[in-house]
Amino acid sequence: MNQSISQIVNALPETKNVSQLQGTLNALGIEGDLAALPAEQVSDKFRQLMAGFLTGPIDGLSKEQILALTAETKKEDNTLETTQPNKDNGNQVEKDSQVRSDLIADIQRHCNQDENELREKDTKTLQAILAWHEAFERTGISF
Amino acid sequence: MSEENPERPGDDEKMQALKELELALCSLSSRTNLPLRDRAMVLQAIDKIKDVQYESVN
Repeated sequence: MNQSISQIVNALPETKNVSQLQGTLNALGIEGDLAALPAEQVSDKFRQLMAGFLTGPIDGLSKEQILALTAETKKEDNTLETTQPNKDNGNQVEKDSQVRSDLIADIQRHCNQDENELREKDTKTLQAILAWHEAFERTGISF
Repeated sequence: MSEENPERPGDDEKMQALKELELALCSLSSRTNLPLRDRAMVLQAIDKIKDVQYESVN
């Protein structure tokens, strides 16, 4: 039985802890193992900068602040590039990527959505996924 | 009626800086090992830049 994206979006933010979240996903027929999701790989500094960028007006930023954010973005990009599968610690990263891919594929199947659409165009789904992560963080478990 | 001219000294440089930021964010968003939570954040930032770019030409 397919679930609509809106049903998933509506259900996920209600989750308060890992087991409840896993239960919600299972109830929706999504089989991803959340305990196997990867460790967080983006720095707190970058997140703070991005949070400021997203919440404030761009008009209020100076060119220097934008350049600083660009430099920080490139730093994160380089970090992720060096941890891509088949490079340094490839096995763990590859496994983590696989877990994410499986989860996305499960959601995709249940939404009858094109995977790229789900990844990049369906902002609501991305926001729902963001909500899970935030729910996880409240429980002290990081991605 | 005030005729607004968005071209102020430094605007071009700022738009260029935003373009570079957009490119850096696009590259970051394409990393397969970027956690989904962060991908959502990066995509939102790209959208925000595109909005500003759109407004600046209209």
